[in-house]
Amino acid sequence: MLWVMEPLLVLQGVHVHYRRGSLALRVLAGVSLELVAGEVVSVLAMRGQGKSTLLRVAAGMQRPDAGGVLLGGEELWGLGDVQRQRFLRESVGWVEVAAPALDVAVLEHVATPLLVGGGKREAFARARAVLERVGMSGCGGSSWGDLSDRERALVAVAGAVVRAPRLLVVDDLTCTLGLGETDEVTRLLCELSRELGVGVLMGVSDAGATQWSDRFMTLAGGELLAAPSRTDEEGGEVIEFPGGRGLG
Amino acid sequence: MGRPSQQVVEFSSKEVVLGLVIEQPDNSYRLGLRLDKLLRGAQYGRGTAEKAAKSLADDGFIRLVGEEEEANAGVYEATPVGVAHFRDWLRASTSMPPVREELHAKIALCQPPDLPLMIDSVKEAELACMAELNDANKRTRSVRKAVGEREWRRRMGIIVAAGDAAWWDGRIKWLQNVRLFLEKEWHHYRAEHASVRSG
Repeated sequence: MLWVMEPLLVLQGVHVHYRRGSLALRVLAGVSLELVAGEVVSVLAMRGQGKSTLLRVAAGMQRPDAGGVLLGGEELWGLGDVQRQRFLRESVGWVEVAAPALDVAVLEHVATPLLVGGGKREAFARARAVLERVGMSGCGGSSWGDLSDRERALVAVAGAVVRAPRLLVVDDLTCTLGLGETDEVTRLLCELSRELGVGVLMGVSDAGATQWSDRFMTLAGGELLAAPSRTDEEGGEVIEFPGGRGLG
Repeated sequence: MGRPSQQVVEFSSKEVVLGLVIEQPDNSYRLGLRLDKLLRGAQYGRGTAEKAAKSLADDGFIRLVGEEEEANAGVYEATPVGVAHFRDWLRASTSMPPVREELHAKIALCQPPDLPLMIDSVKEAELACMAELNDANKRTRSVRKAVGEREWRRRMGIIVAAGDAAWWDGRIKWLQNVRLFLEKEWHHYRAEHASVRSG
């Protein structure tokens, strides 16, 4: 029996260009990708190749010049502004290492998104549980400035998964981390995708960060290339279907 | 785990020497100097050009000219069969991770109208390297699962896996840079060509 999962995220022929004076810089030139729930896909790209633009488009933070962005079957730019913002808030977790706007303790920072329209006790209990899951239960009382790069990356993950989104969009989370920390953080994202059934789209600038991804792609010159495969997970030979996802 | 699987890619100096002869007929000594200048990183041994020239002559790809004249003694020129063979080599796709010098040689010896084929060739090489990285990732995950929680092996495995990834990372990014550069060159060439025609 053949099971084909409905994609969680679909980008269809996405075009983005920026103007630099009289020049038009082509950043995304008809980019398409699909991602299913519980899957980790990484996009490997050098600096300045449009990786963050692609992620912002996928997260509904930036409207493409052309092309479609569907999340859970919903065309994002077919929704009204208020409806789209609410839909994105419930569906997408954006993960990046950036200092929080408020100088509060880690536990409060992670709980903050739940305080809007939710009880304080439940919010803090959930934040505590999520911090424990990412291995940061001992840092709830610390401030952002006291954390190492590894700890900040883990707190960023906790802050995004606390609202139980369907899609995590991760922007170069490991770029300042060493080998062991990169392995730890990317493995954690892979485990969370399986446990929570969340899709993970991850921009990375180093191939070492693709190790735990189910699939990876490269982005250069506005073009997204999907990595082909010659073997399956056990090392047996597979036949690649050009342009398609592995079915089976 | 171990080192990345390195598939052997057939690459000899013959086609490069043939390309040099097509570019400009020369004797084997000067061909050796030009080969060294073209692909300094390849570190060919002394006499490589001479051996390649003899082999190319045996294959009928080049021939000696002007044997009677002192100035042209030992100068080789390409035969039509040799030119056709060189074009085939230049345009042959790369389905395996490329040998750096082979791609350098093709790019160094190509002409502007060959650029679209060169760009396709580089993209195929990128995909081949990506497939290698993909498979290296799968091997790593498989080995790491087998190792389980044995801490020392796990930690050492991280280093080995990162080494494999860094190997392919460097190649993929080098090829991306080559492709972007060639695309820019092709864009300029077409623009210049168009302006010459319209002017």
